[in-house]
Amino acid sequence: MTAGRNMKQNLIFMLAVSAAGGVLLAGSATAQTEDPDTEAQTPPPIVLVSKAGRQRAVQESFCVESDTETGTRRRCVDMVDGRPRRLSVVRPRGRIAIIIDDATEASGIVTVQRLGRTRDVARFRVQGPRTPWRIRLRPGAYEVEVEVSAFRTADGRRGDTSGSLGLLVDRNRRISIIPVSALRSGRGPELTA
Amino acid sequence: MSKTIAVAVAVFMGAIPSVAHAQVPDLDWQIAPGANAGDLFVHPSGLTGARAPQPGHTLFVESLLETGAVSMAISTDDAGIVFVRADPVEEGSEDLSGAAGPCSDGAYQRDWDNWNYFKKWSSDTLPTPWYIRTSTIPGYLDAAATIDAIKDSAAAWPTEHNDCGRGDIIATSELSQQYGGSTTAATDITADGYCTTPSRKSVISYAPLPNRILAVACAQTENVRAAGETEYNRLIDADVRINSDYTWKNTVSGCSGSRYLTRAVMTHEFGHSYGMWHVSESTSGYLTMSTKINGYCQQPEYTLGLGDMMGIERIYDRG
Repeated sequence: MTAGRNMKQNLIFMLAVSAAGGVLLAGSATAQTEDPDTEAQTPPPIVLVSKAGRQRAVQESFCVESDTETGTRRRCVDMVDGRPRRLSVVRPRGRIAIIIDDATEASGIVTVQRLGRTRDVARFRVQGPRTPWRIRLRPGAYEVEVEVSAFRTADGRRGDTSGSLGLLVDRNRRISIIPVSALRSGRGPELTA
Repeated sequence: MSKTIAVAVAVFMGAIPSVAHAQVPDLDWQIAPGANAGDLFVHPSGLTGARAPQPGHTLFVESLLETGAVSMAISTDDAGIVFVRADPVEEGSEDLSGAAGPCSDGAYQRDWDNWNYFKKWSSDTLPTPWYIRTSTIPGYLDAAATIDAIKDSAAAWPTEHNDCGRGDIIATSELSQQYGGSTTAATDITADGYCTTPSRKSVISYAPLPNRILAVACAQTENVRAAGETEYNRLIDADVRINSDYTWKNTVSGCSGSRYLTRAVMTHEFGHSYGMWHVSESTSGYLTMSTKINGYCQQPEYTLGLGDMMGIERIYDRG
């Protein structure tokens, strides 16, 4: 579970686009001596693919289950709200795809909000590991929230996962993936959030 | 006309390069001929307005309405030329407004595997005790009250605690876990938030976790196949590690500031411990098992929604 909805609603508007994602800290010392099989406990990455390249989502809450020698292991990680740290620059009516890397099956929903806003301006379903979508958005910055309610990977992992991606619909800016902080650098007309 | 709830204005520093003028209209900005810094601009809706900022600044103003929002932006470049962008009124949209109410939303996430193979606590091992590593309870929390809050979280599932007027139809014998007391044992969860080999002792503790992780639940099972029975996975260990780097409050009473509620988060975590997965925040945000907690000091997750109850009943062969 992620801290979000009401808190978002309390944010009447978003001025500085939050880069609150934060960075997962590197592993610190643990009390356990066993080295866990981290790969088997990690959900498939959520990726936004566009002409700008591949943008990996800021990870949000997930559950991933895998088989062990004697049974199964389910790891559920509940996170505070993630904000996109990067924005893929795309053209109006351009095409993107939401990829669930490594997944052989996936289903879920994608919602799109203006960056810093809570109202959905677009919504579409995740239908498999690769979901293409034609952008029907006005120019501006957007958060693309991906919620995969069920996935399965070739190596036997299954579960749910979610993540946050950023999109900048712009007719002029060079096609690239830019940090959200670029929107705060005084380029006034592009600050549409 | 919609009632205005709040108006917010912000001014950004930073010059707009003069070479950008030709590009501005493409972003729906319009030059305001003859306008100067300090001139008043009113949104076409009449619902908001602001004065043009000083050169080199961009100003945003947004009025939050009961039914949506209206916003505009005004930018004055270094040369004193004023640009204005008035965004259309964004009305709330029923069909995109997200989650249904907690008592009408029956969503729950079923396992990929068939129900006979569902991971759950087994009646032959119940009642299953769970423990709290009480020495890890943060010093600013009352330890006894914390234990009570966690016990209430655990009890929410077998009692189907809800505000929907719905009765509890899970027999206690089907899902009975009990607080086993304090323990010095650690959880089977590393500081990185990964699960280790099950100790067969379910432990809850407060301990550091990586940034942005509120809590981690690890539920581990073993395959069971008794003679003449279908193989199933029996839960043998369910641990929860609560991130002690965040600030917690046991219950909503007296909660303020940036505090998460132990009872709300732990009700969600016990859901995982009992076999529940997540449901979508955007479509089922009021359910306990939705992916997002509602924010600081928010208590809706205390009580189960319809989908939470239908899910737990389905796992434990009721409903």
